[in-house]
Amino acid sequence: MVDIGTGLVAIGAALAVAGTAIGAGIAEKEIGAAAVGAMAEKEELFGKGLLLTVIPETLVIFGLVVAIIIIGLAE
Amino acid sequence: MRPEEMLQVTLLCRKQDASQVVKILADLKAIHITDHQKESVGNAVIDIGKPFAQAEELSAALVATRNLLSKIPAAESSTPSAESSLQHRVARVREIALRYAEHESISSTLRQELGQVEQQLDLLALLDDEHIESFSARSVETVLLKRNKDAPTINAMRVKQTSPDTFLITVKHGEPTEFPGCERIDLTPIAHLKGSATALRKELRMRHTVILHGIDEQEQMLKSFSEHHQFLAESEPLFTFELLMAQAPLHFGATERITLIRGFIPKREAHKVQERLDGIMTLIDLAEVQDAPVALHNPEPASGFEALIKLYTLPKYHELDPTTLMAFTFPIFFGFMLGDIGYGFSVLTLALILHRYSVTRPFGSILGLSAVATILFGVVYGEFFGAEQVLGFHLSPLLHRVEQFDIMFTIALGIGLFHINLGLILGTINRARAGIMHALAEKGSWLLVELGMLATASALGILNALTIITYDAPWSVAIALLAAGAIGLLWSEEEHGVLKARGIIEMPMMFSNLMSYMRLVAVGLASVYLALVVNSMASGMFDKGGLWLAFGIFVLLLGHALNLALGLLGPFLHSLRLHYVEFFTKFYEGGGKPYRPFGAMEGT
Repeated sequence: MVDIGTGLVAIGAALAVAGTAIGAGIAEKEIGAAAVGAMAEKEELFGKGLLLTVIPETLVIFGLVVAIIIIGLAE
Repeated sequence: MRPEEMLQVTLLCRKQDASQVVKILADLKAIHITDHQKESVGNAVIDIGKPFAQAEELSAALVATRNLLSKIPAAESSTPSAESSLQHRVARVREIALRYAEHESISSTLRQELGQVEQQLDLLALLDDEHIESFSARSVETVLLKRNKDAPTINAMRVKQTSPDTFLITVKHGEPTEFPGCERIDLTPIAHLKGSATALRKELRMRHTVILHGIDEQEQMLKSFSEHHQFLAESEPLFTFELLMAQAPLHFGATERITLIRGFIPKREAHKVQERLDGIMTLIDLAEVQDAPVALHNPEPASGFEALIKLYTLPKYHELDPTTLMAFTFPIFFGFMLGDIGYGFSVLTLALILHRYSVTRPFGSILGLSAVATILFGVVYGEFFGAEQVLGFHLSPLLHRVEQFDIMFTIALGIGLFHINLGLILGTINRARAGIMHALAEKGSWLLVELGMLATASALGILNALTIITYDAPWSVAIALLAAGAIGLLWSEEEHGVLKARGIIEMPMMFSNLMSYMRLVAVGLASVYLALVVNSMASGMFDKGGLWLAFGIFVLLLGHALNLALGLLGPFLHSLRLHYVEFFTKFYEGGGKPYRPFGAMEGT
């Protein structure tokens, strides 16, 4: 069994990823809806739309980095 | 590294030669014509040219062709129509359109009549054997009523039930024709008919059959037009092209005697153009330019990446064209993320298929290079569809990316530093035209900011925690670097003694830009873990044996197909994003006008 401290660290790391993932999801939802709307008007915008949609994914990367830092600090 | 070099040309020819010149220019496919603006030279006015005589006829033919193509289905088997002259084609299209319209009009008249007859038949069916002309007697009014089931009995001069729920009522003129629970049926459509309902029904049924037959005949006729589909489909692009030729003078300048054409030609083709136009056209001006339409010119297979540049925005004429650089960095990023021998060969197969077709060829080149990088990184990571063992052969990884991800992060950060600084250097070159000192100061300041950010990260212990660099820089160094960078930015953006703070506001961007390269590791880890999960699930099933074997194979195929799809999309988009967002923002302005040579059209 792991001790409670390690468990809390794990929860902290999970929160970092989960929070940023939810945030990125919300942002991508908005962008995705707008991108599909733009594509309905002009199909050539597919490339730009797809690209803009993945922009908020940086948030999750930050979350991951923070999670690794949290785990790193705990050791 | 630069867009195609262009020369500005001004051409002059006699008006009667104009149509011949247009043909030559269209054939050359080299000149990008710029629209002429009405101008006066001395007391002569150079107006915008008028289209050639055949333009009107051609545009009518084109409209008719497109209209017919939208209505006529393609024939099941088609043979290419015989070569024929343009005049011949225009005449034939006109004749086809006329005949088609005729049949269409007959068909629509028949359909209208069919509707009427059907309506009349419906009404007559409700009238048993009544005589229609008796309805319009002078003193009385005859009304057909539809009675609801539970309506009260109808009280009138004469009431006759003509069908299960309709009643024919005769009332005196002026008396109410409304009865509770009853609905009046309009008899106008049959009011003009004469004779008994039975006889009329018989007559109309015959007419109905005749009309249906007529409509069928017309439909057959209209369908038979599909034999012309091939001819029309061939004529459409031809007409489009010829119309473009005929309307070309709208872009030219013209006086009563001469035609003036201005535009741009690639420097490489200048000689060829001069030779072809010799004798018929005078080249009165050939000049080096500051601004011109942009044509990208890169060697194969890097040219495939031009599609990605166009997707973002074309560079301005005087800007650097990053296509060739991207052809190096993009596949490296892609391979760094996907890095798997098995997936690499799968992507390579896809790339070879895409490369066969002209539409998808650029993506074939991009994926091909990326696949090669993926295989190379796969060898480094020692991965084959996520597994380290292939048929008992152990792939010994040079770098184990799951266990040694701290090294991976260090490499990713290094790649980020390299990439961003490359962008800054390119930016200095782009800006050098406006003043080398300012350009150096601005990009140099960003370099200081970058170092400052690294020092800050180190001081905060982030780098240490990521086990990238186990050295914690003192805060004083971080602050000093950041301050120096900020001052440099302020100085480099100063205009006419006014300080601008845009650079300072954007300083934190450098930090997030650098951190963004961590995705190179993160996306890859996600892909590896998914592959590992699929493999362990499948091997669990293989151990059970029997029918589980089939399930295992199914899981293996489905799982890796899914992971490959994700592995294509993820690394591709993230690699692209690192270029567009992190790299291009350091130097790239874009917004160039595309070079569109006259006469070059899709499909011709």
